Amino acid sequence: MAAAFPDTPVSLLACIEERRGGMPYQNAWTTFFDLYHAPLRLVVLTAFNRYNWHQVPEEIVEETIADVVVSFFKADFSYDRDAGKFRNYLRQLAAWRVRDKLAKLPKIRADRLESLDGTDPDATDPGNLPDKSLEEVEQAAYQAALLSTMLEDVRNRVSPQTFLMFEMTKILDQSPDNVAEQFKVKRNVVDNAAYRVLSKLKELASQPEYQREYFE
Amino acid sequence: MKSAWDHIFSLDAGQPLTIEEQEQALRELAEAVSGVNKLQASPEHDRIARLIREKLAQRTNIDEHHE
Repeated sequence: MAAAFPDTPVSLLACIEERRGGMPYQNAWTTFFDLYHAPLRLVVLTAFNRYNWHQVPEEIVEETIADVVVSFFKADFSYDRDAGKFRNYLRQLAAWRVRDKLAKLPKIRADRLESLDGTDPDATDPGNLPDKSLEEVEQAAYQAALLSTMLEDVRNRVSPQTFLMFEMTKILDQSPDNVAEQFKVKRNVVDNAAYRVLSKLKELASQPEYQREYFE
Repeated sequence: MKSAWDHIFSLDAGQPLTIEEQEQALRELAEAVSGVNKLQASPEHDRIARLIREKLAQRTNIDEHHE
């Protein structure tokens, strides 16, 4: 019976963590990258910043993000939730991959460090964000990724119709009356769909694994 | 300023939300998800996904070669 009905992972993170028995490998990395692209970019830029490289060429940023995802899913797949937050694990992976990248590109780095005057049109300037520190931007991006992860989690906990009605009205901003007409249901069914999804999200927000990841 | 989701994550599971808090939470959620979706649709996302695919394929080939 257990084999016929395997345990449902609590979240995407759990699903990725238990990838051997979780979602197919290809889906796992694409879903992970789809949801965590923004925080990955920011942890990579922060790691370059720590080496005093503030304007990293876009090509190097993108290669390093790819290296972080690959190392997460292949050789270094070693996240242990008991050892700490997932976001800290990502930061550590980013620090290692940035160090590797700098070791491979000593000449480029030296050249770039000499021209920190902001004139490189291909460079990524993480500091060009008004009124917010890189850490604050990273925190916001991580929280957005986490909310999106929770929403993916909820997708499997309500009926496809409920989720679609929620998505159409609250994410895609379509008129609830039009959505009700398309689904041939009463308007209150559409309104209830949004609050059912919100209620599930609220339940997830009270779970320890999301609690500890949400706050810095 | 504290967001609606900061508030929700600070609540006990059974504590209710006001209508205003629900609406604010849904607006903030839509903003967060739209940002994630927008990045997913960017050329940068496609370029990095292609790099990841290539690097994973290389690693798989190396692993298979060593086995």
